[in-house]
Amino acid sequence: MTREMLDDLLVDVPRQVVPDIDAAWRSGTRRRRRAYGVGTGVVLALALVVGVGVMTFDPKRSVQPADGPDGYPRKVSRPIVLTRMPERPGPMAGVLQLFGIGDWTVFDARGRSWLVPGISQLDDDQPMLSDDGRMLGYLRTVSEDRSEFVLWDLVSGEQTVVPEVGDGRLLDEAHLTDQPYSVDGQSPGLWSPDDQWLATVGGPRDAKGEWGPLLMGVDGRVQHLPVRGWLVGWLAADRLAVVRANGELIAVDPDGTIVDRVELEVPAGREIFGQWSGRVSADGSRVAIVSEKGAQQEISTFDTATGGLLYTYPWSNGFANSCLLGWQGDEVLAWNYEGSLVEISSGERVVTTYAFPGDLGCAVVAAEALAGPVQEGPGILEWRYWDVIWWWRWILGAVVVLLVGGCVWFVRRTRRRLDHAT
Amino acid sequence: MDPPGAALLCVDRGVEDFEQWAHARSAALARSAYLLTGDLHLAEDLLQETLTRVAQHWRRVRRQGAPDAYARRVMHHLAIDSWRRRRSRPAEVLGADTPEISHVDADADRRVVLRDALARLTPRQRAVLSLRFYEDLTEAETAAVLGCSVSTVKSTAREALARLRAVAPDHLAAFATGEGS
Repeated sequence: MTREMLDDLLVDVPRQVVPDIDAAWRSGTRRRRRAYGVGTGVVLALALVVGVGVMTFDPKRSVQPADGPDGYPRKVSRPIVLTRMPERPGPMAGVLQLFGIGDWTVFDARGRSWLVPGISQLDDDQPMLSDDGRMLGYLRTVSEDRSEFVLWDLVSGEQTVVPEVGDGRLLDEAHLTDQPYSVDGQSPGLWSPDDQWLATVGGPRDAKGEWGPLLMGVDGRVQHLPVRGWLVGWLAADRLAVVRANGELIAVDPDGTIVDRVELEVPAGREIFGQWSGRVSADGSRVAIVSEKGAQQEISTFDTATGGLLYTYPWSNGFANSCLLGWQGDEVLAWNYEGSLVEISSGERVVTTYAFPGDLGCAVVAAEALAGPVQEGPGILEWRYWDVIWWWRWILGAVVVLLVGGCVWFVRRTRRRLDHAT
Repeated sequence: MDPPGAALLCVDRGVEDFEQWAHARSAALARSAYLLTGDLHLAEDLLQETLTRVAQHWRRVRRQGAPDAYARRVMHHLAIDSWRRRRSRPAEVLGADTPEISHVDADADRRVVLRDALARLTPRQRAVLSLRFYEDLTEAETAAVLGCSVSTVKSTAREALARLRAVAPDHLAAFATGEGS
């Protein structure tokens, strides 16, 4: 009876409630396509977020730093995503300039790289790493027209800021600062063997003609030495080595007193040039200097005690004249155009290499790191460095496919369950 | 067995299948829509939206072989959802448009009373009455369609019948006893 009452009420409804079936189909199709599009977009966005999250994960940030570098890398990698250096990364193996992004990075014994934070974008403001890889000093940008030096202990995380020292290229009237000292950005700096002093080239900002070695102590002291010449390193913890254009090597103490001098036996017809490349060995017994004979460059090594010439090696395959030379034991190292650090006295044996030579500017490897064992790269578990593995794209592609497939499977399963439930 | 090239025409065949099904079922769905809304315009909107939802998922619905059940579920959920959305929308005046009664007879008064009484029910109560007394589903099947428990169906049906009985005890005595179930 009840059903009959309802039938009686509704008998005329279909005549007056008429659907547009064609419009319903078109609208439904549009919605289905839109839902697929949105779903695909969400899955891709999810895959992107997961991918970036995994790749930017940096295990170094949670690792307790060791006391010294554990060797040097067979290959210096560049991660897919470069992140800033953590506050206490531990000792680094070297610093490296990337022309591709116009910035400087540090790398550890396994070749993993991090950006040096706040460093000037000018490519000749290079950071300076101590021989034990523990101390890093560089000119840090504070604002558009102000920089200051920072000395960073990479093991303890302690930073000594030297506000009195600024950028030597900001000496025009538009960039006047109250900083009494400036550094010459083109000249590299060198740490004392005991990590107490960083020596670079600079001086009073209002007397550029007097510029010479400028020392910055980890206690914040600044000391300008009234000595002319090119800074090439430290003979001992209290002996700075300076080479002059006339072939003279002088030893200066931190007070600026010249305590020793020797004449280097520069081969006849050569002019030495040590402004950017000269380097004393880690034990202070030898010095390597770039000399020129016409258009031909040579790398000559001398005994620092006697000035005697040890050997001369012709060099035309790299940045010898513009980047710091290196030492591994008694052998001189230089970066070549192929992005490899080679030992020049042994037929250019490759010591380490950079994964992307086209991007390489200057690079410096710490002496203690070079004294240690060679280390392999980050390995497959460190996703950030997959661009040094030729098949990383295949792995990434497989991960994306799995993610998409997993999402599709999940959605279908959920729908099936809902269908069963109703 | 599908004729050669049927795979290439699968989309067109889907349209045809849908249209065939919709033409066959639209009358019954229209009645349910009116029963759920109590208004011709709202019933038309509800029916159109139901068909659109079915078309959106037509391939899956057809593969499962239960388009009627899916349409019924969608329609009743949409009707109840309109109640949930009522706070953010202007109030709908139910009962403004009613079906023209083509055959005036002695039962005309009873139809008017029944229509007005149904208009006083909530969408959920109307949905329960529609499924139980018009679609002839069991309490368990009704609960499955609405996504609620059997006890909720029972209590909702009891409240709906009580309200109908209160509005017109003489005309709707059959509802009061649940005779139609």
